[in-house]
Formats: sequence, structure tokens, C-alpha cells
Amino acid sequence: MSSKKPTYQELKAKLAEAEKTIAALRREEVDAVVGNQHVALLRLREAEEALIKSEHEKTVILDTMSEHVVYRDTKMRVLWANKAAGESVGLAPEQLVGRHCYEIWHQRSKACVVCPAKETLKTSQEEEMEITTPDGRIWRIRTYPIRDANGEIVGIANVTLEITERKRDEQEREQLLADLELKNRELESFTYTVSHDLKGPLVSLSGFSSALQKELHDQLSEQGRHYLERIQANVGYMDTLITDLLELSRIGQVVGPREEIDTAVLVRDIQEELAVKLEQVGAEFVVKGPLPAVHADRERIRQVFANLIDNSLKFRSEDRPLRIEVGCQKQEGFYRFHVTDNGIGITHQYHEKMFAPFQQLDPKAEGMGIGLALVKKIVEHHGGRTWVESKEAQGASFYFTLPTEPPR
Amino acid sequence: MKQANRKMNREDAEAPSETYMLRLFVAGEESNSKQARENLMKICEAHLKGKYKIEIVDVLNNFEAALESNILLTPAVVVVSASPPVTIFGNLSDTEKVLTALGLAGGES
Repeated sequence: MSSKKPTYQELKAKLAEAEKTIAALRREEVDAVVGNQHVALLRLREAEEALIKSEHEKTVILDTMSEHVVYRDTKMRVLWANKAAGESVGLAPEQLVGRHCYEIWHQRSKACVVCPAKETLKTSQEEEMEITTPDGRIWRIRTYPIRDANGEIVGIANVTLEITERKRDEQEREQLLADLELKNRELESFTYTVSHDLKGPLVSLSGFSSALQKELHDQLSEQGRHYLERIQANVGYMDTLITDLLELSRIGQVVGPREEIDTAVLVRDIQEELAVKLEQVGAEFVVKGPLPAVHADRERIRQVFANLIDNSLKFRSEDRPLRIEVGCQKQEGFYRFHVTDNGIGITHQYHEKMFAPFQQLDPKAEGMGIGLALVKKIVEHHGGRTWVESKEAQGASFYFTLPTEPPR
Repeated sequence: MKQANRKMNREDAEAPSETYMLRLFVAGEESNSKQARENLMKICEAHLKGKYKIEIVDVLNNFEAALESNILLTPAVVVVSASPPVTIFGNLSDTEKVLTALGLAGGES
């Protein structure tokens, strides 16, 4: 019957059936398609639901961001925007879709002249830009090209973050640092002036007390002469104090010219200068291994070594003959020098404190306690640092570092 | 109750002692197929109690049977006893449409 030419009725029935088939497909009420060889399962809803779910999740994630995330086509029309981007202009993200970005955010009828998205279209690369809007806010915009399966750019995504506050903080910090540096310099010059000015009266004090002693010595009673001695001793003490203070304040101002200096020669010179004293106390002086050449202020570095070696001499132990060792180790970008002795050592609690000026740990020792402060300041000016390792009654090791390369 | 009675009366008048032969094509336990099975049972129990026979064909086990009946999509139910046989596609959630296809639509509307 049906092998013959189909009747109008049959055709109509077939068409109706086709329509019903399409309708069922549209309603997604179909599970499988039966083919000649096998059955193919159609999981339309599942695939769609999975897609909707992942879309939803992505939207939720992007909406939690404080950055504005906008996806535009190559004509700068918004295809998608996150919540923050919408809120920036008081609109729901959907209300931005289809409009030009320059019209939404910059109230312009044409594309902006400077635009990272335009750059990205030009370079096909990620671009970053900082812009300041007329209201004075600063933004960092990053744009990324979005490509289709063939690698063609189909749109630009951008992530925009307001950095006004961060910028302001940065500027404030820089300002503070500059202020601090200025204050430090002022303080140094103040110290210098004051100590310099103090020298004047001290000179007359010293001069007049000498005259007093010379010319009126016999007229003074025993007690008077004793008072005079005390005055002179204190004048001497004060002179040393002011000289040291002057020296310390100068470091910041007087950084001598840096030159290539051989520390081996430097240390040998110091050793010769101190030869008599070393012999007096029966000290052994050892230079361990080769010492390098450094790029530094010769006189200042000489002071560093001299002060540290002098310290070892001062704080030697009564129980054993003094041994001083000077050495150096090359480290990453630095030379680490050490001056080690077997003296009385330093208790741990003083390890930090002792580098501060006028910290005299042993009241019986000579000097004002300016030496280590001087060492620290000189080393820091050369870009290095100082520290001490010591156990009480077992000697001490003073370390300082100097850069292997001259500063740029 | 009254409505059902009236329908029954009408059917009795038009096709006395008729048995509905239904063949339901499903794809295993896929969700639409499962729904179609449940919906068909419900409709038949409500409207054709005692006057129907359902044969279920799982195309995953026997796709030749589907091809023989010209069934290309599942779920689908073929009213074999009708002449010509009527086919309904989908999960049969629209009861009204199923009743129409079975020739059971009421004349109320």
C-alpha cells in the first residue's frame, strides 16, 4: 500500500508526525535517536544545565570582585560586565550590554584617544595603563585579548582597579622618607654646628686653666690645685667627647671619594702602627687567608679596622695572651670581614646596644664608646652592615660586610 | 466522577469492548523515558482502566523494533490498535494531548 505513490492523506499524516517530532525536540522531551545501526542518547537538558550552572558560578565569582570586569567586542561595545562595573555607574550589569564603553564611563560619543583596549587590539597582547579620571581618582586598567578557536580576536576583557588610595599611600610614604632624610641631615648638621661651637669656649677654658696653673700655681692652696686638676681633667674629657661627636656627625656629610683599596695593605699598616702596643701586651696578630680589594673610602675603612682592632686590645682577658685574627669570606654580593679575639667577650644583652653612640659597657675602659657607633655608621654608608657574635669570657667576633661591586 | 462516567458512556456508545493496544518505546532509564512510562500508566489507569495493554520496548536493547515501527526518537508511544496507528512523541506530560491522540478528549471545551 505505502510502497506505491503516497496519498495526500498519508503525506499529511507524515507531515503531522514530523511536526510532532520537532515539537518534542523543542520541548526537550527526547532521550534518544534511533539510527540504522545504533541508538544515540541525547542529553540535551543535562548539557544545558551544566552550562547554565557553570555560567552562574562564574558570574557569582566575578560579581564578588571589587575590580571592574568588562568584556567588550572589537567595536568597544559591552558584551558582559560584572556587578562592580555596573555599580560604578549606578546601573545593573545587564543595562551596560550593547552600549559603548566610552559612552558609559567617559560620556563620550567617540572612542577615547588613549585606551588600553585599543592598544590590545593593536598589539594583540595584554596591556596595562594607569589613568586619572576628571574626579581625581586613579585607576589601573589591564586589558586582555579574547580569541576564538581560530585565534582571531573577538573581544577584549578588561580588569580595572581603583588605586587612588594606594597611590596616595605610596606618595605619602615617599614624602615621609624624604622628610626623614632631610631631618636626619638637619640633625647631623646641627650636631656638627653645636659641637663645633662648643669647641670654642672649651679652648678658652683649657687655655685659662693652663694659665692659672702656670702663673698662679704657687698662690693656690692644696685644695685649689686639686680643683684645678679636676677642671683640666674634665676639660680634656669634654674635648674628647666633642671631637667624637663631631666625627660621628661628619660621616653623613663627609663621605670621601671611593677608590679601589687593598684591605690586606690597610690591615698591615694598622698592624705596624700598633706594633709597639701589641708587643707590650704580648698579643698575637693573625691575618687569616687573603684579604680582598674593595671599592670604598680609604680613610673611613681604615677607621673601621683600627677601631675594631683597638677594641680587641682594650677588652683583652687577664687570663690568657691576646690573639687577634682578621679575615674575610666572600659571600653573595658581599665580602664579610671579621675581627675575632679571645678577650673578655660581651654578654648577649649588649650585642645590639653596643653599636649605639656613647654606650660604654665597661666604665673602667678608656674612650667614650663612640668607636662602634662610628664603625656601624661608616659600614652602613658603604652599603654594608655590622654585627657581633660573642660569649661572655670567651672572646668576641665583630663582623661587617662591604659590597663586592661598587654602587651604581 | 460524573465526568468520568459521561466519558465512559460516550466511549461505550462509539466503540464498545475496545481494547487499547499501546507500545511505548523508551531509552532505558533516561529521564524523559522514565517520565513517559509513569505518565502513560497514570493516564491509562485514570481513563482506560481495564481496557488497555501496554508493551514497553527499550530501544537500547532492541532498536530494530523501533525501526520496524518507524520510531526514530524516544520516548514515543504508538497506539497500535488505532487505524491508522497514532504516534505520540515526548514524555507524555501533557495529559490533554495524550487523551486527544487516543481519541478520548472530552467535549467539554
